[in-house]
Formats: sequence, C-alpha cells, structure tokens
Amino acid sequence: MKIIDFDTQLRLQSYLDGELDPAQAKEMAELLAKDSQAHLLLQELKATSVLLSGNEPALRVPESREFYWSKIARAIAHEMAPAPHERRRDPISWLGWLVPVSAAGLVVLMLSVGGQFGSGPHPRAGTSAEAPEIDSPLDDTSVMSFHSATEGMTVVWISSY
Amino acid sequence: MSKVPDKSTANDETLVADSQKGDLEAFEELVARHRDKIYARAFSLMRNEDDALDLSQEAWVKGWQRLSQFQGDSSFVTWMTRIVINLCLDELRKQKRHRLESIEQMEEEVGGVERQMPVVVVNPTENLERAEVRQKIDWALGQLSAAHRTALILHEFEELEYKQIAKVMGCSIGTVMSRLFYARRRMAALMTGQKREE
Amino acid sequence: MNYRIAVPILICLCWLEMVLESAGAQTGELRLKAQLIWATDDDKPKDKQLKEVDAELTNKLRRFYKWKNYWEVSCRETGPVTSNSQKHRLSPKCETELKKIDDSTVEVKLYGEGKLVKTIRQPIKLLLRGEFLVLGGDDKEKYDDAWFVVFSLAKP
Repeated sequence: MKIIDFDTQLRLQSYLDGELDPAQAKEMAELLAKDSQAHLLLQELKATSVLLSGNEPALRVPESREFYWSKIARAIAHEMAPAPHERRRDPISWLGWLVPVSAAGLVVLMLSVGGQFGSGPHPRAGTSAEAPEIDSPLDDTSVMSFHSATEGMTVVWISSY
Repeated sequence: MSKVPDKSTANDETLVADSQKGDLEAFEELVARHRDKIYARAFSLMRNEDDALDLSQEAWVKGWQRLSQFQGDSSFVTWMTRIVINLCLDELRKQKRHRLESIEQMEEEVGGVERQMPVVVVNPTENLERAEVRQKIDWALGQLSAAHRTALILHEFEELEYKQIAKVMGCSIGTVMSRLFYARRRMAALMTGQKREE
Repeated sequence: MNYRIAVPILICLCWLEMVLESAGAQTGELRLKAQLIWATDDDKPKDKQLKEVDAELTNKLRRFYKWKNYWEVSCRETGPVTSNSQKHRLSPKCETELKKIDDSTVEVKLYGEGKLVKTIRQPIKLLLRGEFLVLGGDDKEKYDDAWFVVFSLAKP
C-alpha cells in the first residue's frame, strides 16, 4: 500500500486544523476524495482531536484553599516589603500625598455644615496604608507582612537566614 | 471588626477591578475561583505535583504584580493561563539543559517511526466512563515528551494557532506541525493500546 | 421632607460619628494582651502548662499558616499602653516592649534572647477594632515548628 509522504501528512493535519489557505484546502479536499489512506489518516487525527478537546483531565489543587493562598500571600508581601535602605522616610515622597489628601479634605469641608474635620477617607482594607511599618535592626532577618481586613489580622513573618 | 462585602458573589470583572486598586481580598477570591484551572495547566505541562504547585503559585504572584497590565482583552483566567504556561515553558527549558543529548536524538528518531505507523481507529471511549477516559488521557499525556505534550496541550486545550504555538514555544511553525502530528499519532496509539514499533 | 435641610444634617451626623470615633481612639486607654504561641503538627505535648489557643484565633492562624496545632506558652496583659516604654517578658528568651508613639500609633519591639529583632508600628485603630497583630517566625530549636506572638485588645 502506498504510504503518503510526510509532507502531505502534515498538510492533512493543517487542513484539519484550518491552517491552510483556500487554494491549498481545495487541493487537499480533492486528494481526500480519491485517496482512502489520506482519508483514514484524517479520520484518525480528527478523532484524536475530538477526544482530547472534550476530555481534558480535570485536576484539583491538592492543598486547602487557605494553605495554597498563604504561600501566595507571603510571596506578595515579600515583594511589597521595601528594602531596608528604602524604609527611611523620604520627605519629598510625602508631598505626593499632599494634593489628593488636601483636595479630599476640601470637598468634605464644603459638604458638611457645622461639622469638624475628621480623619479623612478610610483606606481600603488590605492596602499598604494599613500595613505596619517595620524596622529590622538585624541584617540576617527578612520580613513579610500584610493586613487582612476580612480576617481582622495584621501578619508579620520574620525569617532568619 | 469592620464589615467587608462578601467577595464570593462578585463577578470576575468586579474582582479584577478591585484587585487592581490593591484589594488583596478580591484577589484571593480570584485565586480561589481559578486555582484549579491554573494548577491543572501547570501539571499538564510539568507532570510533577510539586513543580505544578510552585509554578502555579508563582503565576498568581506575577499576576498580582502585573495586574495593571490586564486590559480585559481576554478573560482574566485566560490571561492567567498564559502567565503560567510561560513560567512552565521557562522551567522546562531550564530542565532540558540538564538532559543528555542522546535522549533528544532518540525522541526525534521516534518521531520518524510514527510517520509510517498504520492508521488506527480511535474509539477509546467504548465501554469506558468519562472519568476513565480522562484518566486514560492523563496517563497517555504522561507518556509523551515535554515538547510533544506542550504542542498538543497548546493546540488542543488552549486552542492556539500554529504561529501562536511557535511563538510561545520559541520554535518554527514547521517544528510545531511535526511535534503536533507526532503527539496526536502517539496519543491515538496509546489510547487504543497499540504498541509503538521500535 | 425638605431634602435641603435633611441632607446636610445627615452629612453632619456622619461626620460627628467619625470625629467621635477617632477622638475615642486618640484619648481612650489602650490595654493589650500578648500571647506567646507555639505552632506544631505534633500531638499535645506533656508540658501541662501549655494551653490550647482559643478556637477563634486558632482558625485564623490556620487560614494563613500550615500548622495543625497552636499552644499558648504564656499570656500577659499589658496594662495601659502609654508614651513610656514598657517591657513584658513572655518567656526566658522572648520579650516585647510597647510604647504609644502618638495618638494613633503603637510601637511594638520584639526581643529574642536579649537582642532587638523587630520594631513594628501598628495603627491603634486596628487593635481597637478587635483585630490581631501577629508576629511569627520559624522555631530555631525544632525543625518545622514555629512561634507566634499575638497582640489583641485585652478584655475589660
């Protein structure tokens, strides 16, 4: 029995996958009409493709939601914690907060009648505005921290090298 | 304790928008919702539970860091899947560097044998429950090499075109076609219980 | 209803509530509880002085950390936290020092074997809300165990 050359086999696959241009697709359709081997090969490729697309193995994470998340949260906190040399307050960086905080205060003042200045908008839970400030005098430790409003916890993990 | 809205009823778009504003609870809900899919993709590529756990978690961390880049052109889970796929492929490349050249050569030769294999009738679902079919597919995927499995997964499960697969895998379209062809024929043989000729 | 009167009054009331809440945080006493906790997957140890941590805190710790069991090694009530530093010994190797930096911030220093390990500044309002401040690290003496120092509002 004549074996289809490899190039044609690959083009059959491309025909199945819709990767041929119209002229090439027409050529392949003509081949399929007269070559039973090509036709059978196409059927095999198609059946395999159909079988796979409907039956991808369904896997579940083999860890509890909390434990799986805890490692992610620690890594995020570690990425977010500034390096020790950056923790000293830079007076210029605070100027960036001055305009939005002042604008918010002004809007609030305009809206209220006979009221007093409050403490300003409450920061969103979980952002760095509620994360603790941390100093680490020891060089051989690193720290990861974050705040969870849902759990009502601020968590600081201290690692030793 | 302050009351925080229940995130479990929010849709993905809302959770993504909240996460982009720094809401870690919203991001945690996204992780809880989609962690199985991301883990499954990592496991399908790596075939190792520890690697899949590490890489899927790394993908979530990267997702958090790059949230501002998510524009909504695709669904959030599709975007996350791309991140985990790239991480897995990077890891596979690192692992590949440590493998012996002879194994690579053997795999290429094996690809040549498949060109001459007789066609099989693929009907492995006969007398099998769907769960058993999935188990068999999972087993068969594990018999493929990383390169062949990756091409198959990206095409059949991620529905990428050849040129997209070539870009992700860092190879030519011709290589993608060869790997995909080999993987499909090998899967057909494995699913029908045909032994590969050596 | 005349909305032109009602709306500003409502806004005023909301502001008053916020002001009073923050005023309470600024002038009220802050009394804390500090617990030294040992986390392990081992079964209950023979040391009878160890107590099981209460269910609420155990469940919270389990949400974040992998250990199965949490045992309270010691617990201290701090008395009112003031602008003067106060040290509290939780174990022969573990001490904390508390100080009110200003009306909205408390400074917590953690000492291990006499050496300052960490200084943390925590917003007081979080503690007044009933939230926990949890410091933790690996147990150097027992592989795969951990220690925690948990600060919370002391019950009156």
